[in-house]
Parts: sequence; structure tokens; C-alpha cells
Amino acid sequence: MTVSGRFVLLLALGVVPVVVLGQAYDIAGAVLGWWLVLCVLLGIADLCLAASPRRLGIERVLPARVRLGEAIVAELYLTNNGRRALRGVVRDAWQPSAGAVQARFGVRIPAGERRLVSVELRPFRRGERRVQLTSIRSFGPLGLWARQASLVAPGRIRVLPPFASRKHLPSRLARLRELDGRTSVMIRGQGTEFDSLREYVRGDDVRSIDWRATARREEVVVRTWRPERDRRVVIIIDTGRTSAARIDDEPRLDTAFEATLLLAALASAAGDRVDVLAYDRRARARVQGATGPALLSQLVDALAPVEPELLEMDWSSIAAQVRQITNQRSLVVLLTSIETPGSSQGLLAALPQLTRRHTVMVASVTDPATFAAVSVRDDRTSTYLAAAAERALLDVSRVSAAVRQLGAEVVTGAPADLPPAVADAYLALKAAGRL
Amino acid sequence: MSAAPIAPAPPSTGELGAPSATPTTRAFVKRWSFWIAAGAFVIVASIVLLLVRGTTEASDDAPLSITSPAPSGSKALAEVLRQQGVTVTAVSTLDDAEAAVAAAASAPAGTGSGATSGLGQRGKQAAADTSGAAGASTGGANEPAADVPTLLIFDPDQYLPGDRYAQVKGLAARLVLVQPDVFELEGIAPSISAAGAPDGPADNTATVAAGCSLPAAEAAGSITVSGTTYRQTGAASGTDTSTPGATQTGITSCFASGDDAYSLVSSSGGAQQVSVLGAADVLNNEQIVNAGNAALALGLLGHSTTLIWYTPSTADVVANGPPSLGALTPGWVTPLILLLVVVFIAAAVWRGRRLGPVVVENLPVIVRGNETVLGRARLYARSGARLRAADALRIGASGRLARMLGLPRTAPLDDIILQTSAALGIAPAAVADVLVNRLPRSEADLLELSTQLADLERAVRLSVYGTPAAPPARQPTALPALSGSPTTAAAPSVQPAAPPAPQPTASPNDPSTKDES
Repeated sequence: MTVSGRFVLLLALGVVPVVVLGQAYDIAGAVLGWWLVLCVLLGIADLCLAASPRRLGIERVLPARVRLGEAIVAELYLTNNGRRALRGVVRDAWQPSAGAVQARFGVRIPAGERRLVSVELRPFRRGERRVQLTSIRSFGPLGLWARQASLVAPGRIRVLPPFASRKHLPSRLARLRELDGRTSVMIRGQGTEFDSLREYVRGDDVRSIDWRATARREEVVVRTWRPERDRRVVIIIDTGRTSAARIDDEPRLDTAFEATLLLAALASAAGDRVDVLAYDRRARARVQGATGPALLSQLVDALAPVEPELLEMDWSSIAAQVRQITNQRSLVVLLTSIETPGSSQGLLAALPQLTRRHTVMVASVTDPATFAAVSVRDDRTSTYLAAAAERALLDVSRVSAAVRQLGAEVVTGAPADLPPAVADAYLALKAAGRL
Repeated sequence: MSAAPIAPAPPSTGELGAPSATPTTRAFVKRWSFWIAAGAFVIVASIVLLLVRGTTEASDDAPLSITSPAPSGSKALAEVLRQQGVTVTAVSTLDDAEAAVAAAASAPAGTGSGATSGLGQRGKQAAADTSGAAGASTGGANEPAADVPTLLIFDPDQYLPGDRYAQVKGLAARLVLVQPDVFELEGIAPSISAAGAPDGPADNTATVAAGCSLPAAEAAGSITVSGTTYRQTGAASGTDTSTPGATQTGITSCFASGDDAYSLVSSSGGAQQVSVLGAADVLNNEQIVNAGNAALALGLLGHSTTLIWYTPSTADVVANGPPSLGALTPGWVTPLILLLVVVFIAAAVWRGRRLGPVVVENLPVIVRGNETVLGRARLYARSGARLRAADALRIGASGRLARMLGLPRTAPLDDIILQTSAALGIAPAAVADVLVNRLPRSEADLLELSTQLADLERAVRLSVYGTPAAPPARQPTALPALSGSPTTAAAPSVQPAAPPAPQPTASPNDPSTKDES
């Protein structure tokens, strides 16, 4: 039960009779009493005539998924099963980060009819966003007092990673095709495999003429080559404590997701098989064996609810995890953070096991603010900050050098630059035939 | 307000709506029944207790209060008087006293007659036994006054205003003033005046004999000494005190406790008898059992069927001055304030009532990535780690210089210094000073050093790439080391004047590069 502003106004209007009659006949106390009794009686009558909010049927129509940054409309169908018309306010109690643009809706539902309430949602956080209750406040005909109840009407939407780096995909695919075209015509060697035989045209490398086939066909035939296909790419995402750090207002983990999605899209377009594992001390998400368009949709679905855990990454079990995924030689991409020699000890200890069998790429987000701080030396504070930033960069470069010494590639970049940098490194490895 | 009508209502799934998370009134009552019952019990019990307590007399702790059983109270005396058939009425204002006197006067005289006999008889007996003027004085007042009320006035706080004494005086035929002050005496019994404290100890340890012919005093024999004493007005202390009991103006003084000082002085001028009792403790619960206190008290107060026990209170004080704020405010102000309070409460409910419970959500911790860098910078600054900070800046700068000059990452510092000096055309010693040798002895030194390092980098970048990629081009001449002539500073400290190895990126003395800047 609750009261409305109208009731408060009605009570406040009692000032007039209390003052006027009190001044004229000196009966202010009695007038006050009678006014209060009148207001309460009106309120009780109003409450008795209000429709029951409990007799409201609720159905939801929700899209299952939405990309972060996009808006959707959640539909709420309210059916009045009661005998009286319902007039009141409905609140759809979405979690705050579901980003309901408007939370309260005025409704008027005649008895036995159904109405639609459209709730616009602009989620601002990745993961599962839920709604559990819908609260209804039903006013009486006078709009003085109201009945109120919360009804259980659960619903949820999955907010997917935004994949903002997909804008880099066309240019990388074009590069891939260039790579394709170049190797198919001329280059033979590491990283390419035999594709087909075709007729010689002017400009082809004479060294690629297949003399045996030429003899058989009585025309000059050349062999064509194409980049190796069906390589394995294993992406390991570190969801440990360091992935929670925000750089440029984006957690490391989200940047890792962006890089994962871009690399997965590129690699699957290049014909490689992509497996993804989000891991700290146990697997938080795992996508294996998916190909083509299914890969990306499975990926975003699996990664959406993954959050950074307050755990130290267990690097010692990573080699076993990779072995579980594949026995083939593959490209293992570790999306983690390279910060200080101390915090990277586990990574450095685990790398040799991986590099013995696989090509390893370690990708880490670097903070552009640190780079910017190095060159600002206006006063004492900023000079010390520059020194600290230099020290941090030095640490990063030391760890990077150690990682390179252990035979792995290192890719670093600001949050916006890391996904394309990882894609470029993949393309470079592919072009060099090191997959 | 995006509620839009939708096509025909679908067959409703059930009679009732969705399951409710809010308990119904019945469920609510059921769940909280214990506490509701407990609350109701407490309220009812309080009301009952209040009613029960409210009907019983509230005792107060005031001295000589007839409802106080404390040592200083007078409940014992009042109870005994009541048992003897005297109606004892306690009043606290003059108006009440007047009303009580009027009520006593209009009451049928026979009501207390049977009971009066005890004391009245004894008083009469005493009066009959005694002879002379005293007997005539008391008995004369006593005889017709069986239903004339006795008024006891005890005003230790002097609440009674001076202009009311006449009114009090005319109130009753028998007045008993207990420890009156001088003004009260002057107003009510001008023939009696105060005589100060008794000679001996006034703590009820001593007793004094009556020594007068007043029947009540005679019956008492002796009383304990307390309070103050009084004497007849005009009777000098030096006058003859051999016959204290008899004076010519109908004034009887009893219980002499010193030089012309008496604990009880009674005047019976005209139809009115005024007794002034200085020893107030005679009447209280503690002392009434000692000596002849009880006899004196009963004799003084038990004459009539009605005793009005008047202890003036603040209500007797007449307010003067301008009317108070309360008197000036119109009658509707208080109800108006009450109404506004109710409106405020209703508005609080209106705005404060939530529409459904709060929705909880686990939010991620926000950890800024550069916290460690900021923290380290503040640690440097707080501990004044100038050398460490300078080292970090120098290592970073020399690394970038090496990269710009095309040296390998593992190039020794000496190579970097030589190449830099060659690229810029300044002495290696000056470069070494900035890059290695100088110790920052103060914060200003550190600032200067860091500026010079930045300038050095900028100059090298300019000479190698031709553009200062970093912020707006500042003149590299800002380097103080540059002002020292490059020719004279022939590397005295560093490597023994090894001519810089020709590098593809920079030639040792490249005037064109410098001119460009």
C-alpha cells in the first residue's frame, strides 16, 4: 500500500478549513480531526476500489542476445485477469547495467484486456543481464491510495562482447587474399602447399613449370601453390587477476576478447582451425571444433559471461591444456599481461614447454597513459611520474626480451591497437610459413 | 508511456496473474503474527498499567505533603486525623482552598459529628479542665466551630503573593501557619513576629515544655525543637517573661526555647484564631512519634471536622508583564502545525515508498591499469629518490637514443654517448654528463636533468629523422652543455677522444643537420 501525491495535496488543502474555521469559530482542533478522518476514509474507499495488482498476467518477449553498445526493446505483455480496470504504474526491475532507458510506465488496462509495455534496453556491461520482478502499483479511481505488489516474471538477455575490432577485418582479409594470390602464383617453399596444375601464362615463374605434366598434356603446365591450410590456432585467454585492470577504461579481458574475435574470424577465413580457452585455474569458457560462421557466434556466446577472477593464473597447467586441445604443431596465442619480471615468472617458466612443440605468441595490452607520461616533465610530480613510467616500460621490455629469448613472439599495443596487431602478427607468421 | 493497445486479448492462461513476490496481507499477518501479538500485548498492558496507576494517588516528596510517606511527609498525621473523622483536603492553590472552604461550609454539619467526638471531646475536656482566659479563648473559638474548617498554610517557598494575605486571612476562622516568613506574619498575624532560630539545637534532639495554658500545648506537655521561633509583637526580649502563657491581647505563647522565643504562638483576636507553629517537624512522619508532638498536632488541627491543608504552589504566583507568546497566538496555529506534520509524513511515504525491491547486481571491481605506475611515482616523490628516478629516466632515454641511432639493443653506453655526440656535434663529455655522470643533488637538479635528457632526445631525433616527432620543436640549444664549445671539449673524461665511428645515420660533424634545426 502507498499514497499518492494527490493524497498529500488533499491533506495539505486542510490548511484552508483549519485556518478559516479556526479563525471564525475557534474550532480548529475539531476541524483538523474531521479533515483527517475524511481524508483517511476517502483513501480507504479508494484502496478498496483499486484493481488487484496480483491478478495481472505477465509475458515477456525478449531477444536472446544483444551486442554491447546496441539497443533492444524488451516487450512486456500485461494481461488484466481481474474484474476491475487497472490504472497504475509498472516498473520492470532490470538490473542497472541492463540500461533500461525508462523504468516506470503508466498503464491503464481494462478488465480482461492485454497491453504491451516496451522497455528499451541499452546494456552497458557484458554478460547475462537479468530481470526477476515486475512491480505494479494500482491506484483507485480517485488516485489517492494504491495497492502494490511485485510479481515474479524472470527474464534474461545475454550481452555479447561488442567486437568493435571487426572494422579491421576487411583490410586483414584483403591482406590474406594478397598473400594467397602471391603464393599461389610464384612462391613455393615454407608455409605453402601444392594446390593444383594449370596452364602456363606469360609471367609465371618458369621454375614452377611441372615438366612431367607438361609432357603428358602436350602444353606447358605450371604448378600452383597456396598457403598452408588447416593449421591449428589455439587461443588461451588469461582470466586471472591481472585481466581485471582497466586500461583506457576497458578491462584487459575485454581487449583480449576483441583480439580473440578478430583473430578467430581471420584464421577461420584463412582455413585454419581455431580453438579458444579462457582459463585461470579452471576453464571459464571453451570453444573447440567450431568452424565457419558458427565459430564466431559460439565464441561470443561462450565469452559473454566470462569475468575476471581474483585468482592467479595457473601457467603450469597451460601446456597440459594445450595438449588436451591438440597434439599437432599449432600457433598458441597467449592473451595475458606482461608487466614485471616478478608477476611474469609463471609465464616465463611455462613458455619453454610450449615453444618446444608450438609456435607461441604472447600478446599483452600496454597502457598508452604510461607512454604519454614518459614525455611529460613539467614539474617535480610529473618528472617522478615519468621516471616511474620509464621504470614500468623497462620492466615490460625486460620481460618481453625474456619471452623472445624463450622463442615466443611478443605483441604489445594499446587497447585499440592490440587486436589488429595480433592479426598482423598472425598474417606475418602465415606468410613466413611458420604455422 | 509506451503502453499501446494490442490485438484481441489471448485466452487468459489462468484465473490469477503471475506468481507474486509480495506477500498478501493474510500471509504477512501470518508470518509476523508473533510480533504483531507481542506489540499489541505491550500496548494493552501499558494502557492497563496507566489506568491502574492513574487512579491511585500519586505520592509526592514535598515536605509536609499529606500523601508522602517519606520521613519529611505528613501522611501519618493525615491518616490519623482521617481515622478520627476529620476530613483532610490537600489543596495547592488559593482558588482550590476557597472552594474547599465553601464546600466545607455548605456540607451538613452532622456528617463528621460522630467522629468529631474523639478529638472534639478531648479538646472540650481540656478546655473544661483549664481555667482562665486561655480556656475562654480556645474554647470560645472551639465551641461553635465544630464545622468551621481549619486552614493549615505551609508555604516554605513563598509562592503566595503579598496581596493575597488578606484574602487568606478572611478564609477561615481557624488558621494554622506553619513556619511563616515575616511577610506572611505581617499580612496574616501582625501581632506575631519572628524570633529567629531557637537557642538550642534545632534538630529535634532537645525538647521544650509547653509552659502555657493552651489546651493543645498542655495536652502535649513537651515537643521537640526544630524550625524557627516567634514571639508577640512589641514584647521586647528584655520584658518580663515569667508568665509566658498569659498576655493581655489574647496571645498565647508556648514552648519557650530561649529568650522570648516560642515555637508556638497563638492569637485569638475576635472570632478568628491564628496559630503560628515554628516547629514544622512536629507534623512530619519522622518526628510525630516523639515527645508530645502527636498530641500537639492533633490538638491544633483536629478541632474541626474539616482540615484544609493548603500548600501554595506556582499556580498561585500571578504572572505580570506582557502577555506570553502562547496567549498571543491564534487558536488555529497548533492544529495547523499538527496538520503540516501529518502532511510531511504523508509526503515522506509518497516519495519514500519504493516501487518494488532494490535490484542487486554484482559489479566488477574497477582496477585502473596505471595504478602501480602512479604509486611508484608517489613513492619516488615521497622518499626523494632522485638518483633512482634519474636512473630510470637515463636508461629509458639511452635506450631510445640507441634505437634512433641504429645501434643494437645490447650496445654499450659508451657507444651511445659517442654516437650521440657525433650526431649532435657536441663534446662526448657533455653527453656523458647528462646521460651518466652528473648526480642530481636537489629536486631542481633532477628537473634540469630530465629536461636536458628530453632535449637531447629531441635533438637526436631531429638530426636523424629531420622532424622532432615529440611536442612543438624546442630549440636543442636549450641544452647548457651545447653552449660549451664543441671543439674545445675534447672528451676529457670519457673515452680518450676516439673519433666517432662513421655511422650511416649521422656523420660526426654535420653542420647541415644543425642548421636545419
